[in-house]
Amino acid sequence: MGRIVLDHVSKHFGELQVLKDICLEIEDGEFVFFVGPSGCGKSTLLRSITGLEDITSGQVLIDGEDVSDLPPSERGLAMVFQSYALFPHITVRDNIAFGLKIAKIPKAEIDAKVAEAARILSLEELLDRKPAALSGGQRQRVAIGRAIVRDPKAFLFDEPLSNLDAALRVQMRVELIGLRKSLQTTMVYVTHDQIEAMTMADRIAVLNAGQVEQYDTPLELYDHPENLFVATFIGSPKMNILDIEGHDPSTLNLAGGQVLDLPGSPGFQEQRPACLGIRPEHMTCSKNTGLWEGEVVLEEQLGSDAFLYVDVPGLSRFTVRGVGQRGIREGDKVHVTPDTEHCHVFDRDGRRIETVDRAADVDA
Amino acid sequence: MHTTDEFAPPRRRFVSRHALSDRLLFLAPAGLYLLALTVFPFVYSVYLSLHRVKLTTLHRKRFTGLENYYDLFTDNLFLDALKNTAVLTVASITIEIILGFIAAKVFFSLRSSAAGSFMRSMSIIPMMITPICIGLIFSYIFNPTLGVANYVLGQASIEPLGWFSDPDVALTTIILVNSWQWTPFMMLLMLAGLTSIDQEQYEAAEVDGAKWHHVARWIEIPAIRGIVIVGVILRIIDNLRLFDIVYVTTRGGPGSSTEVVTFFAYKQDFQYFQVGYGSAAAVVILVISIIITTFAIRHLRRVENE
Amino acid sequence: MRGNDQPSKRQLKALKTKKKELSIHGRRRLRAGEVVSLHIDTSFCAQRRKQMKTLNLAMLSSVVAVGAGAAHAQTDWGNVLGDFADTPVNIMVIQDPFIDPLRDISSDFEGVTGASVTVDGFGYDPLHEKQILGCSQRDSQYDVLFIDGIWVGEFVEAGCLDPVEGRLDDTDPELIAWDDYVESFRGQAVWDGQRQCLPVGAYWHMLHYRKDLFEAEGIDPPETFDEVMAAAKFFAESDKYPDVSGYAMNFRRGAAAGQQYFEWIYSAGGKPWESNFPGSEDAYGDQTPTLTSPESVAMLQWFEDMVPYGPKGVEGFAWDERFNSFAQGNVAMINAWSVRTPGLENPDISEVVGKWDVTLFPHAEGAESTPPVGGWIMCLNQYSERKDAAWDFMRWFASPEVHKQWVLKGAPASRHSTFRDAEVIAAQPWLPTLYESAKAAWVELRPRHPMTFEMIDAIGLHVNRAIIDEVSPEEAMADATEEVTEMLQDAGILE
Repeated sequence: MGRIVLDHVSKHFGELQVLKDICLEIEDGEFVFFVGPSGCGKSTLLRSITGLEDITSGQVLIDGEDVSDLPPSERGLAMVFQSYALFPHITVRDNIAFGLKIAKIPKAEIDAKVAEAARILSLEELLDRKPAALSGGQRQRVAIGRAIVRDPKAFLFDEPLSNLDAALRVQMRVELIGLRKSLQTTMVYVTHDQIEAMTMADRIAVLNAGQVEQYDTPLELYDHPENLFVATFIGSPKMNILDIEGHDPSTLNLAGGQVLDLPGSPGFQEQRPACLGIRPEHMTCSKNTGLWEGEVVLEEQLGSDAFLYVDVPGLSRFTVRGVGQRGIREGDKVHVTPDTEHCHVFDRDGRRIETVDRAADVDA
Repeated sequence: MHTTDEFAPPRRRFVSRHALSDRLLFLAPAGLYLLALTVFPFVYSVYLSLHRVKLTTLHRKRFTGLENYYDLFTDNLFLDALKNTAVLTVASITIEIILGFIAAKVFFSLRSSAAGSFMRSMSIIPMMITPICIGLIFSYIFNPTLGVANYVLGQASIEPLGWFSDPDVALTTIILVNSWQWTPFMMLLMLAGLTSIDQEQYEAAEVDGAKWHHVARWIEIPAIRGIVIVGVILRIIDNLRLFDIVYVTTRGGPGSSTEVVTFFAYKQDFQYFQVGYGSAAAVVILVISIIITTFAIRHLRRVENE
Repeated sequence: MRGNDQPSKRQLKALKTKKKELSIHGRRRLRAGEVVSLHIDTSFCAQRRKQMKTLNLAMLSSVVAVGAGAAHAQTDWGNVLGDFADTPVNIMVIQDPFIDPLRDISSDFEGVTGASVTVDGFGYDPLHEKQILGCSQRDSQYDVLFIDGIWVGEFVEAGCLDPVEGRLDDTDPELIAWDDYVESFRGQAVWDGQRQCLPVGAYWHMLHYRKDLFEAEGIDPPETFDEVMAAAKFFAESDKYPDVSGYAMNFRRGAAAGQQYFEWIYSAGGKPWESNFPGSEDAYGDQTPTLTSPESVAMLQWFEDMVPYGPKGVEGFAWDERFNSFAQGNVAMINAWSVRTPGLENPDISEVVGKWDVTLFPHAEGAESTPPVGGWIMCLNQYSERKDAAWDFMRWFASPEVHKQWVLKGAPASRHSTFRDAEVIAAQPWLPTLYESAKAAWVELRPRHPMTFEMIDAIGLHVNRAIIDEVSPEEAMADATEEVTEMLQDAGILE
């Protein structure tokens, strides 16, 4: 019903190429996220699917049909905008009913659909107000309501929660998930907020400079990033990255003369390792014992976790996560130890190098 | 200045004698200016309007009470003038809004091009020309035998018109000239309003399949409504004062088809020098203006607060 | 004979006579003892024979210039006028074609007295407005005011003028030559039994017609209303002259149409009010309006019938359009003020140079031709602070000899002597017809009391309404009568 396929989609703005040969398949009912840094093209890609932007080459297919030349209103999609795009001078009811009125749907049907959407989104009491009299969250719901009544093949969200404060964002996230469960419609969502993506997505497409870096489930992206970009983009705080200066079959030579044993690394034959990545939660920190010694330069105490920034001289500055950590303070001398079972190795081009562990994981 | 409550703040002497006279001193120049140039002439006009008096024989003025006002409202020429002014105002503003909106949409779509900016600057020129010059230019254009307008009509095999000499056409011609001059004003206001519309609203409408008239009705017009009302108020006030074009082209004729209230008052005051009657006309114009603008501003405040 | 300073350029032929004192009009000042030659044109002097002689005029205390017809005294202006070195004399005048000759000739006054003369011209309404406003503010900026003859009642009532009556006795009557002014205009300078101003700028109407076209079609210049209409109809409907219509009149609402009424009513056999008719002893005796007379209504109907034979837009025509349509060759006939007539010979503005002629103003069957008269009288501003200089200018300017010089430069003739002067006639060939018109005109053509503007405007409004067929002529004149009666009663002019 709502299967979207992007087939070698490219877009140029004059000389600049903003989408580079994108191939994606979004299954019916899937909740897919586009994430990436500012300017990576995620909004452009979304708008290309909607039809608000033209593509230079390639095809956009919805349910197998090429819609690349169709105007937005004929693609059967509905879009929710970042600033809600409500019409300020008409009531909530009229805002929601707008598209239906244009399509000249009979009034009784319009009323029924509006009532249904209002029920789903708890907007019944607000139907006769004007948008200016609503809070941010309420307005966002109206925008969603406007999309719902059109019974689209897919919903497209363009950073819909960016304009809300943190607490409201959490609340809306929960509501969106609930909505998704009840509607079962395909949803494509653009955000720069990883937490939204990680918590809500079926699959995430990580974009960078107009290209899809990796398109996978959230956990796969987290556990097995296929390139350096994804590795450092996903996960907060960022993965620790160390330069590799040389290697032997089972050890890596790091800066400052440090050496790390990395059991079983067959991939090292085809690709030369250049970077080593370790997530903060895969490093342990102890006052007494550990592989590398360093000094705590900053302690970020969150209550539930503490993030310690440890300077190991000659090597790097590490971010270390300590759950419930209270004892270590700034200025303390500590020892940090990486968990070699959860290291990531990348070659000079930033591509992942498979280690034996991976194969083991797969079996497990 | 004693107080039994030790926790109360000390009472200050709010107005010292010196401070008050200082304030009055600073206000005095502006106040005198206002008094001399605005209040006094107005009061004197009202005073004159209660008399039958000619400027040339001020000493022979005769108190007649409200007779001048009664005469005004039974004077066919004045009533025609009121009617003409009303027609002129409504028709001009309507044309200006419609054409101004179309022009604003055009310039809005061209807003990022250099050619668009250039043309927009050119289109403002009519507003900057002195009304007298405009009147003269158009009296040449619309000259029945030597003017360009009738020449063009002739080339298209259309019967030439008596633009300023046909009583059925003259007021329309004045309306056209007036609209030509002031449409750019409304266009600018509307353009400003259009540029303040969030781009996303257009996109949402596009996704919903809205056509240009849906967009106009639901997005653009509501957004510019407040500004347009301001523009309309200003134009009403302007049209109540319209004088130069009529003076230069038709002088109220043919018949009384282009007699406007300002011209009526001018003739009474400066041709017949019947300053009593002319002042009464001027007072009536002022009262009408005040009534209209009060209503308009009240309406504007209401719209703003929505 | 009086002494002069500068040599004359004129050729003079001497009479075969002994020492004789001759009073001859001089163009330039002559020095006593100048040797000049005298010429007397005997075409006006039947008894003398032409002779050429050079006279030693050392014994003559002055030299004579051209004698061409009427001999004017060669005035020693240096003795007559005062010395006004560095005194300004400011003149406010209508922007009519005589303004340039006025500026030109004023420099001669500057030469004699040392005064500096400034001439400022204004349009008709602005002139009136500015003069009255200045008067009500006791403005002393302008010393000499040219006003329309019909404004005199209003100006006297407002106290704007210092009547010339009081000063005429101080000057040599031959310089003033009041009787030399044409009667049909000079009466307009009189009000309240006093001579208020000097009547120097007289205009009359003549019927201007396309001589070339009339001759080509064998039509005689029309004399009666019927003949006028027939000729107008012919040209308007003729395919042979597609760009030429018949007759253009002043039909524009207000002053134009109102004046048109007064211009034609007498020749139509009617009169605007009871006591105003050509030759009336007391024109303002009984001012009951007679606008609804059969002659008046018939005339209005005739105006309305003439509209189709006029150019496109004639319902809105005023003085400029009327004249220009004739000057551009678009109409066969107009009646126009004589001040514009010289313009028809100016190739810069006229397409009909040499193709036109004038004749007497037309009249209705059974009535007499009473050509309209109007024009500008020169008055002394009551509030001027330089009245001596101003009065000297006025009497110098209005004197027969200076007047003739002014007329020769293209200004309107207002004196009998000027009309009869061969030199002037040579310069303005239409002068004989104009003189006939001047003698047949009636001085009280239009009201000259303070309500004149409003009365003419009111009548003009209703004339225009009848012409554009908004109402019938009877109804229009009935409305006009009602309005005029009320207005005159209000002003205390009517009981």
